[in-house]
Amino acid sequence: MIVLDRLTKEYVVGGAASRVLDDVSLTVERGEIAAVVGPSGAGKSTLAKCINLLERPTSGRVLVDGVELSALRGRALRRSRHSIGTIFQGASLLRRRTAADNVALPLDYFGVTPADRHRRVAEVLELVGLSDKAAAYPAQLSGGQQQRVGIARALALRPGILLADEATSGLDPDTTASILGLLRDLRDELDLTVILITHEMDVVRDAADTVWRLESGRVAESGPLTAILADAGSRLRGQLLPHRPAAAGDEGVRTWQLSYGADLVPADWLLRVADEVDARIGLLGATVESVHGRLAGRVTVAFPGDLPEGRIHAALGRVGLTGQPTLVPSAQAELPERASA
Amino acid sequence: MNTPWSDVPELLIPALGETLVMVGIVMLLIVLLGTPLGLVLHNTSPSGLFPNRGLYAAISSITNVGRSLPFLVLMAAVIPFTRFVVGTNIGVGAAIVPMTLAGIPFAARLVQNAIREVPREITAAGIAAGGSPVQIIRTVQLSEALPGLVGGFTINLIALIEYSAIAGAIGAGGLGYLAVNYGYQRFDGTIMLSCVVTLILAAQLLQFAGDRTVARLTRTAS
Ligand SMILES: Nc1ncnc2c1ncn2[C@@H]1O[C@H](COP(=O)(O)OP(=O)(O)O)[C@@H](O)[C@H]1O
Ligand SMILES: [Mg+2]
Repeated sequence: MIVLDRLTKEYVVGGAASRVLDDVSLTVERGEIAAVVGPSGAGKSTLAKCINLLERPTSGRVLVDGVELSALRGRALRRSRHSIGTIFQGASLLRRRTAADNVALPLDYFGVTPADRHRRVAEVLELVGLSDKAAAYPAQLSGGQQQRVGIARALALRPGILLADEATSGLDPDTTASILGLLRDLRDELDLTVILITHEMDVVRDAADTVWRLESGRVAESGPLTAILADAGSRLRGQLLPHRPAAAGDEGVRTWQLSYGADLVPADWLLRVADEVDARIGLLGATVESVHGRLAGRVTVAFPGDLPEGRIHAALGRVGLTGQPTLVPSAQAELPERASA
Repeated sequence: MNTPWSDVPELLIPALGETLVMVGIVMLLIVLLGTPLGLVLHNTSPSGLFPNRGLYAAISSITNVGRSLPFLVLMAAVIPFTRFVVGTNIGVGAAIVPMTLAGIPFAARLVQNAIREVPREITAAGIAAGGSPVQIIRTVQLSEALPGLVGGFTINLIALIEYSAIAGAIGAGGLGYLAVNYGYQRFDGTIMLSCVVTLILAAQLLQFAGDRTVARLTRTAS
């Protein structure tokens, strides 16, 4: 388990202190994959560096399984770093060492016997599926393979925590999916706590159990992924389930924005709701994703304009959806013109 | 008055030997002293392991002083120091002092440059893997920069041949001395030509060997 307790980081730039992390508190339970998201410049990388103490927090504590890393220095800190394996964004392998020797780097620093080194390197290369590439140099490996070597290196000293800063940025979608799959498998197999720092929403959807959204160095939103996806008011949900442009409804209809709620939504909900309100429903646009085996989504539909709102709400509620009528776009567009006339 | 070609080796080979000894000794001193200085420069700089603005500025400006003097001026300026160290200001021994003094700051900058080229993330990965500063310097900075270091030292080495030729003027011996005293002052065309060709060949050979070594040390896709 990892706990960040009121972490603050200030950089002094040109004599003035700029606060990059502002009172960030965060807990990730053992065996959980937590995603930290946020726009560029939100402080995600700074947070990553504070977690493994590459940067020292200005104030606050970093606790790993109860050990306060942020209170350690020098040799004690170096020893404790073994509890966190760090995966970097590409290009972090030593270019003049083979995959096996890269994986062995933490073992060399720690000072294990040659026999242990050999055995452990073979083990972790096997874990990431690269046993046949042990003798290859980084330049001879694909981006995805390099990242697997990076993961193997991070695992070499059996850490309880994996920390990845933009580990899949720069990889193509298929490779990203396979790396995320690997991280999930490793979590299951080794009971790892994983912190994925990313700006890619696909990564969050595919891998995260919990999500923390940073904005200007503060935690703006957090919670289990399923809860966030069911929360119609969440900004993060808007990013995870982006609005695709919906078609305009026909004359005489009223468009509604529907959301999948926390309860199970039956796959045939559209028919059920149509039966319930005894009307035809037009499907104008939808983003529906399967997350952790459950559907989450946002849908734009058209109900007949004269259908009472109460009946619609009742019918939606029965299938686990929530909804609101959207403002009529044409009416919105006309208003300013009248005002200026 | 030209020396007959048959007599050229008799003069050229000992001179070449002197040049090689001079350059070899100086190069050894430069690598041994310039590398630590370059490491200190890099690691006290903002991107280093122990950033220290004041210390960096101090060492950096001393290095710049050493680099800003033309070799001939430096050689003349340090004569008292040379005499103090080797007891004389002429000959091979006397040439080694100014050559080393000129070469160290040059080498230090080349070392600093080569290490700065090591991607930041690789260093961060080493630290995150639990490396101590000494381990990081050895396994990350020096090892990753090795091709760059060899490339830099090759430049250094070729510059030293030039210094050694200039040092020939204070009677340091070697090819420079031969070229100036026979080739130039006695209008000896064969000696001049032989010296020029030998110097060119030496520079070419060193550059070729340096490039080959760099290529061997760099692990690119193949
Ligand atoms: N070493 C530093 N010195 C000064 N400012 C920094 C430093 N590192 C990061 N910052 C600033 O902190 C903010 C957050 O950066 P970063 O953590 O890299 O964001 P992210 O990874 O979310 O894109 C940025 O405004 C950046 O300019
Ligand atoms: Mg970042």
